[in-house]
Amino acid sequence: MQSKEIKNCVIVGRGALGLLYYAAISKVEGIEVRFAADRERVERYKGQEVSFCSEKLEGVQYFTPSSVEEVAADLVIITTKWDGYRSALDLISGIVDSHTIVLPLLNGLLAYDLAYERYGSLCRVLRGYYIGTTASRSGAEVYQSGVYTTAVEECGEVDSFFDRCGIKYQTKSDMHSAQWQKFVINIGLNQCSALDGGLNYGEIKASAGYREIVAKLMNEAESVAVAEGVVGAEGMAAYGISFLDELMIRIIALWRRM
Amino acid sequence: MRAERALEVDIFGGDLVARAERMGIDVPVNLEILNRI
Repeated sequence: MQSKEIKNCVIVGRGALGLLYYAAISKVEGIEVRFAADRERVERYKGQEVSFCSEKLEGVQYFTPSSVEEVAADLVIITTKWDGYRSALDLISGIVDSHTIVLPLLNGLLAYDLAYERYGSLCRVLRGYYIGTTASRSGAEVYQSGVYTTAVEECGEVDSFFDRCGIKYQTKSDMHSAQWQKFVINIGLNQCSALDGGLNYGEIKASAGYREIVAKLMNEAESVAVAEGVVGAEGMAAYGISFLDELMIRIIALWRRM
Repeated sequence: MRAERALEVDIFGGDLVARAERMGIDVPVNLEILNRI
C-alpha cells in the first residue's frame, strides 16, 4: 500500500461532527474536501446554507460517488449516525483504493470492525473516535465550544493532515484498548440511561440503585474484554465508575469554560 | 429516550452480547436491558 500527503478528503455524514471537521479542513489551501451522500441528500443539502460557530460555510461541495469514481479519496472520514453507517460503507466503495485511509469516528467497537471487514484487505482502516462536547445543531447551524479531541490510531499521514488543518487529535499507542475502555463506559452509562423511560447522567449518579446497575453493566463488559485478551482490560470497569463520579464535575467545569 | 440514543443502546448492547456469546461469558444485566428496550 502506498502512502502520500492527504490532499483529497471525503466526509460522509453532514451532521454536527461532519461540519466540525469540514469547517477546519475547508480553510486549508491545497486540500479538496467534499461531502459524500446519496442523491436524495445531495439534492436536499445543495439548497441549504450551513454555518459553523456563526461563520457561514461557502461553496460546500457535495457529491454522490459512482461505483467507479475516477479519483479515489486519500482520506475518508465517516461521521454518520449509526442508522446510516452501513449505507455509508456502501457509498464509499467507488472512492476507495489501495492508498485510501478510512477513518470511522462512531462510538463503539463495531464501526471499525465493519469497516475493516469491508475494506481492510484493500486499504488502511484506522480506529478512531471523537471525544468532547457534542456539537449542538439547530437546522444547519453548528456550534462547538472548541473543547474536543479526536482519538486516532497512529498514522503519520493523518497526524500531518490534522496538524495542517488545526484539528485537535490524540494518538493512542493502543487504540484497541482505548476503544474498549470507552466502550465499557458507554455500556454502563448508555444502557442504564435506557431504563425507566430514559435517565440522564445526573439521575444515574444520584441513585445508589442505578449506580449499582452501571457497575454490573461495566463489570460484564470488562469480563468480555478480559476474555478477548484486550490489553489493560482488568480495571476498565473501576475506571468507568470513577469516570461517572467525576462526570458531573467535568460537565460543570466545561460549562464554565464555554 | 431519543431514537438516536435508543439505537446506540441497541447496537452497543447487541455487540457486547454477541461477543459474550462467542467467548462463553454470561452478561445477564446487559441482556436484560437489551431485551427491555
